[in-house]
Amino acid sequence: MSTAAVAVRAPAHETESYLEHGRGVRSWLFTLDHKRIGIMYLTAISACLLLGGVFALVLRLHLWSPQGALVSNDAYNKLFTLHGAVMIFLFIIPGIPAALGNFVLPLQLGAKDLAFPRVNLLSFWLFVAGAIFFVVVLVVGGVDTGWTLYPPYSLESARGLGILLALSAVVLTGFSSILTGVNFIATIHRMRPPGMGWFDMPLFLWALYATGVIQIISTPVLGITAAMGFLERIFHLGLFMPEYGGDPILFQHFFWFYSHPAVYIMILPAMGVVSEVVSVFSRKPIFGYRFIAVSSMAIAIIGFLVWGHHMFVSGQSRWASLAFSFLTMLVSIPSAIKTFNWIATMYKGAIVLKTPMVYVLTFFAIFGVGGLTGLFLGLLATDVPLHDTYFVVAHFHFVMVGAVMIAFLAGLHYWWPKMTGRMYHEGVGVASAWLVFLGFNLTFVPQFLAGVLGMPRRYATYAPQFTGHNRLSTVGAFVLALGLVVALAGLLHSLRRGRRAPPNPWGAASLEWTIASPPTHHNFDETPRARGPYDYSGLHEVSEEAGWVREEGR
Amino acid sequence: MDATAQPAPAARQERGRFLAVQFEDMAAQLATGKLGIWLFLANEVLFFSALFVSYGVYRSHHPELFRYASQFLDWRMGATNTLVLISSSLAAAWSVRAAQLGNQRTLIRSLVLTVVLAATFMVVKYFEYSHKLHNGVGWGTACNPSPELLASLPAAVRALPVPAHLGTFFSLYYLMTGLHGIHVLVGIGLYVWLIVRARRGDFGPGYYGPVDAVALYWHLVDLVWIFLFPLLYLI
Amino acid sequence: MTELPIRTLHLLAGAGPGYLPAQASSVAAGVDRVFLFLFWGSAFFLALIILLTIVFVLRYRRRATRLHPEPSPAHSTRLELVWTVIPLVLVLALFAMSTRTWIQMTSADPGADPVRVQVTGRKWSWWFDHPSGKGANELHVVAGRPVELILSATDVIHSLYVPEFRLKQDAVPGRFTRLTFTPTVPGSYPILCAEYCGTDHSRMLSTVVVHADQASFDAWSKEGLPADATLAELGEQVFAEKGCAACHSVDGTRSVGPSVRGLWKRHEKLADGTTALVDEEYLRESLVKPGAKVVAGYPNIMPPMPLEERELKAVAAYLETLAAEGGAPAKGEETKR
Repeated sequence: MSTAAVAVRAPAHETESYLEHGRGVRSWLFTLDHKRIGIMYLTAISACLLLGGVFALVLRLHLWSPQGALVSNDAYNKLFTLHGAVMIFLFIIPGIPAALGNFVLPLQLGAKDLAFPRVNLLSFWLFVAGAIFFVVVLVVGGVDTGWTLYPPYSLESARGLGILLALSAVVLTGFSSILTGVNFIATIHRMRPPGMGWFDMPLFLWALYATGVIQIISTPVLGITAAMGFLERIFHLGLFMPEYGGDPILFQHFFWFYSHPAVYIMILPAMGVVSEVVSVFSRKPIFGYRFIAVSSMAIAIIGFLVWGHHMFVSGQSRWASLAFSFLTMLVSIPSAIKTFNWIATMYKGAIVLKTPMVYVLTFFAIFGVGGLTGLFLGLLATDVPLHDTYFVVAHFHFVMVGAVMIAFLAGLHYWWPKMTGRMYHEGVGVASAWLVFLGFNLTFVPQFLAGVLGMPRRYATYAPQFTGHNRLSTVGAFVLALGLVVALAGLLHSLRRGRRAPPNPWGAASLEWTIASPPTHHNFDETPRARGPYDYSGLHEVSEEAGWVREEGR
Repeated sequence: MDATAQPAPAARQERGRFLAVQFEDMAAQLATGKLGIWLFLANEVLFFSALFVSYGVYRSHHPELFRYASQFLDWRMGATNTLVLISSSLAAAWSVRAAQLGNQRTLIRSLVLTVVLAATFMVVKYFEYSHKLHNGVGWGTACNPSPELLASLPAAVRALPVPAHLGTFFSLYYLMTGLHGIHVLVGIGLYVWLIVRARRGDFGPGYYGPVDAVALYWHLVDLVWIFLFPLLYLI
Repeated sequence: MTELPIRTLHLLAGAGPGYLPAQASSVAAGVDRVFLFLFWGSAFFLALIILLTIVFVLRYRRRATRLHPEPSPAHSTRLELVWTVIPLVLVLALFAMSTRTWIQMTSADPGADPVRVQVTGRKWSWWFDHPSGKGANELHVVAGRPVELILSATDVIHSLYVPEFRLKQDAVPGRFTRLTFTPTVPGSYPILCAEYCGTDHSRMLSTVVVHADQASFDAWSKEGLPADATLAELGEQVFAEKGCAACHSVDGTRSVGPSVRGLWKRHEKLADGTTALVDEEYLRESLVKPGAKVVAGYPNIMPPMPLEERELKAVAAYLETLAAEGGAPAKGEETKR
């Protein structure tokens, strides 16, 4: 720990950091410390991102030529299935809440840990078990059902062990997600420090709270649906398979009852990160705190009522389609509010272009595109031609990869000094942000164009007219991959070579920045008194090395 | 930040055996634990909900199938189990009160009574299941009722044609009662654990969170059955 | 590859309809109207977001001369209501506009008696039973005549998609779905499968032929093989129409299923270890119950494909000719009946 860091802290009861508290593999694998569990989650989801990313690159290479350049149709189908499943269940859904949230949530509350540390550890190991199942799926020959697992295709007799393992993995990761949600909500409800009412919480906590609500209410439906599918496949229950008297559309309803809110499980925490970063790096309180907080809850609640917009051409009732389309239009409003509030936060601020902020600036453009193109798919007239085309693929990658992954990277760089006690290299960080932005757009903008022209998704081969679109997209995917490698290299390099981080390198006002970087095992020696999470008055920058210090009474 | 703020070793010991480090006092721990259980129960309700929705969908598509197939269920067995489970819920509630009052004997007795009634429920369930499986009434495509069983149906029902996809009803029956049965088994396990801890003297007015939490869970298991019984047996 | 930037510019320059696929149904123009209205609205808001971001970053960057933010309100309920209400009004207007178009898309032209075509989706081909009694693997309709498709599927979910019509409808096994439209411009347009259905999902292609008038349609409808066609020629036609070639090649290359070249009268090794002679009986059984005797090394995924008796004989005759070309002694006189 640097002398500067010590100087700004009162003499501490505990001086060794959580990283030094306890040594050896067991002290990590069976830790109850939310920070260590967060770091383990971070490591695990990064590995999954890498795996899913490799699948994506193989897919893109295959699509270099219209007849398919690399693999057979069957192999292609398995690759896109595993790409989707790994990215969604193992990276994007746990990404921000389980990795960053686990680390940051108790710190922002001034708490010593989450409400239920054992449940937290159980959640992590369920996640690992699910991830291992997915890897085993790969070993036993893969599945080719698409991550949506629609019956009858997914439950035909030709799908063997792979689909059973995949469904089990879905149940396991689902329970992991539920337990995280229960833990977060209980902690936020009961463990806020004195002085922190509901509307004094950092917005990241509001986002995690709203996420928890969705996790608890929607994930069990996915769990039981996967279990029903599992039994249907073995015992022919006649629930989803028309062959035995079942209804495949019922599966779609259940699936999207989870999987549409799941999009908000992904995006809400991302919005929380953006709210934190944009305020800190504009040196200004967030604009319209209450509107942002309430809009998170509005998204969580309305988000439950829009699942049927995935089924406009499935043959569901026309009245249902109308209602779902209407509600989908409504859910776009809270997102619009947030976007304008973020931009208004920058107005007359003192904007600092550090890596997290650069990522967030690119987030605005990408989330803008992702959100607005969602309107095309929520409206009945335009969804019918665009449904199941590359327009959809591009749209959800803008929201899930563009917006969520970029916010994840912003949050990762933002909290990295707190997690590791090291500063990453700014130049490398900013370069990675621009590479990711460039590569991302190059990958997915052509897919919008191909979709509008009528190229359906999940095509292993395609009409020659789309060759140009696909080649641009493939080039873009490699630029995007390069950006991610640069970001990863910069972060890993900092672990050994990075400058020691002061307690508050960014001049942020929330509680996690009042303690050492990295924090001690029990975070806070005493329960702190909270003050406004965006109250920057009295904070001033001592030096680059010592970071920012609050002068009381100024 | 000086001596008053530092949790000295002596102060730590005062915190009590069962107070986790992240909580200020027992009241905070109890309230948080209770909230956690309620959230978990919300998740449980949604877990069952997909099965109830499937039930609603298939019953509205095939009302004749449900009328016919429910004749295979013995409402007397179901009613017995309903009484058994409600009684066990009462015993569970009683155990919470006993723990709050620090009445060891009553606590242990009511916990044991809960387990005994839960086990009774499972025994009745076992007889129901084995009777059906013995007569070829499995789920899905494995549902081929034996002629003897068909002959034992009321005459008015026998006159009806056997509906197509009879097994779909029994898929739902086994899924719903089976998932519920798994919950009962888990509940038995939890109550055995509580009995062990109660005999050790862990619970009292100062610490009864686990008894309270498991009782809440047990009431939900009871509640689910109260919906299952009329939906399946009393059509 | 070079045309893409040009096309993109084309789109951005406002010639939207030039970029979109041709409009060939009565609802296509309406869909495009909603699309373009939304496109330009979105473009405006996106430009606003990006512009404000850039301006604010340039104008309010923290520098040595400007270390602190200028005073500005932390919230403004009036302003926030403005950017709540304006988007709300806009999306509700969009919803109304889209719904009007969608009602046209999903209802048959009132007063006009639509032509009903039964559509069957199966791995990996489409089959269209036209009201004239003619079945074909492509859809034939007449410009200006309303059409109603009744869709079903024999194995898994498929989705019939015609970009030029701006229409799409899933075909779901175990239930019937409906798609109504009125084609407007004569010509041929691709039919694609839009719901993922396995190995050859991307090759499950067909064509919709829009005839200029009824006479042209009738001519197609009556067209067929001359009366003196050989059984093998008929078989070849059945083989093509039923989409068998999607999985069974005729040139000996391995595909999803075994190639039919040289298959006739061969002893095939089956998945259960036994062997079976490929003859009329085996062919009949394999078409009715494809899973009964699966050739070793191939997946059991063929959908049932019952044929009429004459069609079955014809296919048998056709397979026999392929066996002959594969080296077995020719028996030309037997195939001509």
